Amino acid sequence: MAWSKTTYLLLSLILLSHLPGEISANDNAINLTTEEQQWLKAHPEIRIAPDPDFEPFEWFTLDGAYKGMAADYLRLVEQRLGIKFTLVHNKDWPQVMDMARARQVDVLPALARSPQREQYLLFTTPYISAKGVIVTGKSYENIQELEGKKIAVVTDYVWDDWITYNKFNVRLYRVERTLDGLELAALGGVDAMVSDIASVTYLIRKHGLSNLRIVKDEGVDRNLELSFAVRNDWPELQIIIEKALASLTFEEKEAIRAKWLTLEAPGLWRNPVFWYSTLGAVAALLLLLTATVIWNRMLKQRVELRTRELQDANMKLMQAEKMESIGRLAAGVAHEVKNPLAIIQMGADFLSQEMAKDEITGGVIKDIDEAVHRADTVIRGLLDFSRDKKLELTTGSINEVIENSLQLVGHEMRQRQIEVRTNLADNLPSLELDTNKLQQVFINLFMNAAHAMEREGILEVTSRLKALTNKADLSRDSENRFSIIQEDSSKVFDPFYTTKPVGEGTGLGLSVSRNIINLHHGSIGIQNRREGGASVVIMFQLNRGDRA
Amino acid sequence: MKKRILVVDDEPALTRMVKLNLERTGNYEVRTENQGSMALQAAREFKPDLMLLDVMMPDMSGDEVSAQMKEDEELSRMKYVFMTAIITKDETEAMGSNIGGNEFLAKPVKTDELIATIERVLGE
Repeated sequence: MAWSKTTYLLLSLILLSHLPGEISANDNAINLTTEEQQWLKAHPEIRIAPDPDFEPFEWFTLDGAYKGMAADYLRLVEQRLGIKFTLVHNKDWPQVMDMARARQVDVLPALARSPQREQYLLFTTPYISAKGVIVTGKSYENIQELEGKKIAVVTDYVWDDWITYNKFNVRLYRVERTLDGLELAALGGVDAMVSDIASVTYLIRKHGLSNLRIVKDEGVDRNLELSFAVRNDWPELQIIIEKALASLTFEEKEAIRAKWLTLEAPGLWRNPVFWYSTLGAVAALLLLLTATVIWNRMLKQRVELRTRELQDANMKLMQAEKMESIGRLAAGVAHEVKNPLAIIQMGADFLSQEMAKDEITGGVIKDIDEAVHRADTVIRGLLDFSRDKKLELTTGSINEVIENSLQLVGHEMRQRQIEVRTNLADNLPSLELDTNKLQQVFINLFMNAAHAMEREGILEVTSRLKALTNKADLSRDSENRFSIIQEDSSKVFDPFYTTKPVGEGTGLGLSVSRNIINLHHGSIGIQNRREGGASVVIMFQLNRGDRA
Repeated sequence: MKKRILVVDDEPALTRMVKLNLERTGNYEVRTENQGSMALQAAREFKPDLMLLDVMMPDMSGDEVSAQMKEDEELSRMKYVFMTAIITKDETEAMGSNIGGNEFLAKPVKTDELIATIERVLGE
């Protein structure tokens, strides 16, 4: 797409040279006072710090491009003011807020107003407003039916306040990111989620969460409203940006909305500049020919892009359906397979006692035993995966769980000559944990590590306590950011994804592990390390209760 | 004296295997029954020391069967071991109060383990 945008801009410039004065005659011009113009001249560098991870409003792509609705608004504001802002790339949201407080950056492009933030920032009139909605994977029709149910909200977002303020009788389940809540709703871990329509629509499409739908009854009477926020010692700039925003046309705003909320390529014909360009093209036949060629190429690209998007969406849909059917099948399969397995097992036991104890008979019996065990392991994996997701929480120590798990895999590690190094912090507070389920996670990870290293490797286990500047943004902690885990590496958490030879892995271990960690409100990520090997990071949060 | 074991499971092949394996030790006398609803009558006739009971059967669940037994004074001293193909112990405990607290085995179970469990329960 980068190619077609450049081409398009180039084309506009050539054509516009035949229409002097046309563009400046439109009603988009903004009236800055002399003082305001002087202020802009006196401040040649205005530093903008977007949230690096806030789709579809604003985010940085892996290659550092600034994208999203706010990004498009920012570009229009730049265009109106005839200036260029300086983009500051921060690694995470807490850093953005720190820099804003320290006035190391000047403008945050998409921020919801709050009394705390108003102590150091000035807010423009909101330019993005997204309606609050209830999303569910079940058949609820209105908010009354959700009484007593488990509802996910993102910590510190307006929906958290909204539910508390209205005293709705629901069980709140706080998650770090909108996507986490939607995934839980899709898998039945929560009954519904409250969020804004823009993020919800965008994330459902992007991640193929096909079984989610929006509850019909419009019970949510609050919106998510985003403004430009300017450091409060620069009131001039707040007014300047306000003026630029006020000059935006309905068509421009509509084009941005359509672009991000329908996942289509930019709607060129909604842009008035495009029509001026086309008029120019009629006047210049030669250029029109060129334009036709380029236009065809753009169309072709659009078709290709759309096809890729569709293929992508289709893949995600299949994944989601696979997950659902596994749950339904598991219990039925277990019953039908475990009974015959029991018969085979006891039959083999009987024969082993009755038959002559020669080497061949012994080998046959052993093979039968092992085959039964293998089949049983797969079935148990399936049951674990589809199991009703409840935790038995007790106050426990993560280090203790790690040590117990290491003890249980100790024999395997010694046999494979894998050196185990532990570096467990002794200042970890107790947490509410399901120690059995977590032990399952750790054993699973350690065994995976052992199988991956085969022989003579190092397994290093570290635990530590880390304070994050902003509680709401735990998942954005730089060292624990899993945005690197895109596409392929996230597949490792899919059920039945395995790289092990037939019979050595069910492909369910990591999916089960992720479910368990999610139920603890934690996160898990895996990535290859530059220096070789792989690292898995699991994060738990403290004082969940205090965070409301 | 040989201990009497009543095995109730809707899979005839499985009850046959259990009977063969238990009787060949010489320590048990085993009777089998493949319908949950017939278990009470079988127990009254056979007067077992222990009942090995499948949790999920088409006509009557293990939970219901043991509830019936407990109403009968004569059978009040009988011990139970439950077997299941479906789920874990925790989840079965939630299914019925008659199962919770009793010994519990997940299918497939090895004969050694089955015998060890039966001995432990009989010794209690």
